[in-house]
Amino acid sequence: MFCASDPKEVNILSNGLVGKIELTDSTDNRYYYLKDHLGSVRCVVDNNGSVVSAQDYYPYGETIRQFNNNRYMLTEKEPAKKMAGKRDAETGNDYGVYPAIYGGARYYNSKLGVWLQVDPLSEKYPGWSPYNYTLCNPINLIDEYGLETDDPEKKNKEAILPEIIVIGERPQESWTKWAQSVLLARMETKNDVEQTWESIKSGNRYTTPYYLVKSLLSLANLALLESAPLPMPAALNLLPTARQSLLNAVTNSRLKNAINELYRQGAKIGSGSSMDAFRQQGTHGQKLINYRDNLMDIMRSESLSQKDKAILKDILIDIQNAIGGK
Amino acid sequence: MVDFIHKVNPFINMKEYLTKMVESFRTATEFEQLTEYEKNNNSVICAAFRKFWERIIKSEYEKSLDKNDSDALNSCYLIINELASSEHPEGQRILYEEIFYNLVLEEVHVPIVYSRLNINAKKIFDSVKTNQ
Repeated sequence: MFCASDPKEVNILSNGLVGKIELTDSTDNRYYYLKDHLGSVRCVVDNNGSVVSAQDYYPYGETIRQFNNNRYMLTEKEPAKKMAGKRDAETGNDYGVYPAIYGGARYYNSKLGVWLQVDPLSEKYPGWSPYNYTLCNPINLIDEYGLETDDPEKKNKEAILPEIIVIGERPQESWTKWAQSVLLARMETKNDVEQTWESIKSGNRYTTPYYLVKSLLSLANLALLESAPLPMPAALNLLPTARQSLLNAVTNSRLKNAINELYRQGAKIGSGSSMDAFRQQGTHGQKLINYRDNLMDIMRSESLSQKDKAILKDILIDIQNAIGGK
Repeated sequence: MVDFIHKVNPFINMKEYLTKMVESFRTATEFEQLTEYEKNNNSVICAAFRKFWERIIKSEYEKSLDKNDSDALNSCYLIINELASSEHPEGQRILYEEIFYNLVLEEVHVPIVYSRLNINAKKIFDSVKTNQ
């Protein structure tokens, strides 16, 4: 454990930062970071094991999408990829803070995938641009401080023991409960969950809670994206039946036609919405733009009921979110 | 360098293109019920065209096509195949996103439609089916 200078917040450290404790007058709120193989924070869970935020990144660190329930804004406190500094909210750049002997901080732009200043150790890599990030191999390598490229697996192996200690702080009962609830989200029956849980507990590979975290991370992400979720508009919450429920709810014929086109009939995957298609397949971009214009025209020229207006607004928000990458 | 040469999009005005190619679409209910704004919105007009095409496919199967509809159906396939084989990627996009993606056919209609598609259109049809 390590106490930062700010008495309102305590960092939990082992192999890097693995969690935070927010100290309030009445209670301590604990947050634990679940990281991927690079050490980037992908998921944050609280005391009770419920997911409070999660996000996915492109290889160079730009956020694909993120979920949070407003209790804990991850991006305000942590950098996107595994770096020693934080993401600057104003510019969107990350900065790696390395020892002052090399000159201080160095900024990294995840959209461009390059450092914005020359590498102080660039002479060690004469064949590479001094602005490159992880030798253009961001899926396997990390550059925590903006100095040298590291192998994250090697770093993890060197620091197995402290990880176990930190994770072990969590009440075992609550942790188990959380892990089972994650499994439940992916399994059909309780029996399946119990069997899988037993196999995880007894398997050689998962003997420590640390590895348990790693193995469950992908499940947690899937569960999060598929069932718990992104802040979707209320009208679209029941995704598999979104089309029919929306069609039943609206009265305006033009709006009905638009919904008919934006949601596939008999969709087997997701809600069948063009917004989902755009998110998953990268197609339907132009269609969304055209339909957004059409919906705006409906909003302007038709006299809609309050309910139709609310649904139309929700769909417009969903289209806008999809186009904006959320 | 080929990618950097600007190609003129021949499908910028789908209303004009579709009504010119299929005369009877202009008088079809699917077209007439659109507002003027919607007729000029490519996605909406393509959706109307898709519904029109679906309707005459069903009529063809029920053998209730008249001469006009029969001509219209031929023109529809001509359009579909032209979009699929177009040099401009917008043609394939329209076919994928606006037409095939929301196309509702019964099982019995599929082989009939599929047999009249050219090789490029078949590829797009298959990829939509895989991604659904």
